[in-house]
Amino acid sequence: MSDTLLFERLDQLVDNCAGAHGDWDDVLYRSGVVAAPPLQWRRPRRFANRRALVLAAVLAFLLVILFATPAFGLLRDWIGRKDVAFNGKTAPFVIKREFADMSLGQPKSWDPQVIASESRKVVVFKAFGRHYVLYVAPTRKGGFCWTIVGMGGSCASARHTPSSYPGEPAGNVNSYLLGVMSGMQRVPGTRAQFHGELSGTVFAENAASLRIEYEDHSFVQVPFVYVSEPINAGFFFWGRPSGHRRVGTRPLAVSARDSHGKLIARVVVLHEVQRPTKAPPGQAPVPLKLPWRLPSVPKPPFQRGRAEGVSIVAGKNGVVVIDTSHAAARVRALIEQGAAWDCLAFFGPYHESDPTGLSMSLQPQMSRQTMVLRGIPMPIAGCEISGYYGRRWHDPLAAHRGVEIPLTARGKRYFMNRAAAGDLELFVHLLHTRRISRLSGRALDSAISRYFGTEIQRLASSTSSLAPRRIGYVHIPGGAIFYERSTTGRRFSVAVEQGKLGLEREGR
Amino acid sequence: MTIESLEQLYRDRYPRFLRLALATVGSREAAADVVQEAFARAIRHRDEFRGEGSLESWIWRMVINTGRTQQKRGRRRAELERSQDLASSNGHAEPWPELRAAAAALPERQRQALFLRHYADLDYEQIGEVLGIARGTVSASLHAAHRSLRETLEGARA
Repeated sequence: MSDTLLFERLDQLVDNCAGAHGDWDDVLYRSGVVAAPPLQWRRPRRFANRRALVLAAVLAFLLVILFATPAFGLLRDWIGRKDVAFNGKTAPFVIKREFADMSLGQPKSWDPQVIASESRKVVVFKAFGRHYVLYVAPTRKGGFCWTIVGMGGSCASARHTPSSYPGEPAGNVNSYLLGVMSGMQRVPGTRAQFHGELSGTVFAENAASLRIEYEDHSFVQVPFVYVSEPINAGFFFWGRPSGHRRVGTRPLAVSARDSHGKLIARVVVLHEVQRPTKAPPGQAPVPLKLPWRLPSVPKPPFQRGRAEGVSIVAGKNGVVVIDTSHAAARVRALIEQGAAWDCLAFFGPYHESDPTGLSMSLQPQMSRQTMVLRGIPMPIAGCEISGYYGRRWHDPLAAHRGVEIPLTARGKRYFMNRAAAGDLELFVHLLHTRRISRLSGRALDSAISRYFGTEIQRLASSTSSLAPRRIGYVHIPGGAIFYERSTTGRRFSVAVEQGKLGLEREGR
Repeated sequence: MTIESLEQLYRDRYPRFLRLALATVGSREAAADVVQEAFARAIRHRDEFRGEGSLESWIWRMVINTGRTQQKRGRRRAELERSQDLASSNGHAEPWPELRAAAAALPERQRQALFLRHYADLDYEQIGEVLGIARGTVSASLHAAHRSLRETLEGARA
């Protein structure tokens, strides 16, 4: 027999696996890697050689020429939008974990169902002499989530264009087509802070340019990227120049226009504007009439809470102040690594939710921060500090947030219940990772015993007693129902049948 | 060595890692598990990588070792399943059963060299680095393996 024939047969013996692709997230999960500290900002690459340097210099010179000519006005719109295909570099683990964590502890209807493994690096914005990296991930609901490293992010569900959008605040036009957030920056070397960047999303596909309109009637075009399917949305991040931080020159609104300059959408920057300014002589008056002034100090009656040296004071007027000046060392370390805070209230059809979607970054140098919650029924259930950490079972924080400060009894129960539900969710995920989620009967018993010892309790029936924060299970055909009881007594359960999750069931 | 460099290697070479694991453990699902576990181990023990050889060789070694461990567990499981009469067959004949059996019966070093050559597509130099043997030993091992397989196949044909 010739070597060639032997080699051919050897080749046929094992499938060539062409086109197979693995699951890197699973590797990371198995490895037990926890979220690293926030990414270090990458410096721009140095020019590899002299030729590249010369080329860059020529290019820069040409751009200067172009921008200095009257043609700039025409070019500016073109420069405003940059279309980007959603096929960039895959996001690092810490970002994927951040996206994955968005689902933890969420009521089902609020779970963004982000596909963390598909997250991509989209663009690097530059502001305040630093680089801000934007990552975006699609969701199973047809929407997307995004984050700018160190600055936080948000999610958008599948878009729908309302046929009518009544009740827009004065000055807004089709505000559902623009999402605008205002962030705080610290004055270097001081504890003072100022409204720094404006960032957000553009849902208008035909948007060709984006403007920041100032109170003094001037405006500036800001660049934005428009990401292709499945994201199909634009993103911007703009650092405010120092000349536009005082009353009268601050940003008033963000607006999007089409290629003909026609206004598509406009959103007034409520965080910025406290009172309308007078029009300069000879100019039309400012059209905006703000319906309210944002308060800045909590008004009585107060709600107060404290945990691990972090205190919260919430006023009836929706102003919440967090004070971390006496935070425990663990909390200070968490804040150093990057953390954000938000508050919760119970309202609406879901009974429990983050009332505003407003989450503010905590800066190590700023021990007090204020958040204004508008349109939220008081009292607030509680506030929390979350870090950018990965989670796996057992979670070092027992599926709690970094710091949880309940302000009502109901809020306290919510934090305890959410931790139990989150813990159960992490455990069930571990079953998938360990490849034992498809087992049932004795095979499942033996696998659970092998991996978890006596930690997971086999229950005689679904009503058998179960100690708080312990996980138990009962057999069902093709799988099991796993239970965890919160310290409040509420029992959560997840059915795993043939490796698939059944509907989450709750009982007493 | 960073996790990113491991990720890059994983994404670039995954089908080859999978194929080697498949040759070792015999089932696609188990092979995928081997690759996942091997890379997870690599991440956990990345500090132990001293850079004496290439990163890729280190990973190939991880895959081989993990595959071997998995294979031992698989054997135990198969014995258990046989004893409980749980084993089942999908009814499809596997190609070249006598060749498969002959490859499985090769001495370990020969089998590993054979798999690295044919399923991982490594050259003699790389195989030597992965197995920690000289290039000449790789050549001799492969020669012996090929001869043994040829004899088996010719015997089966006769």
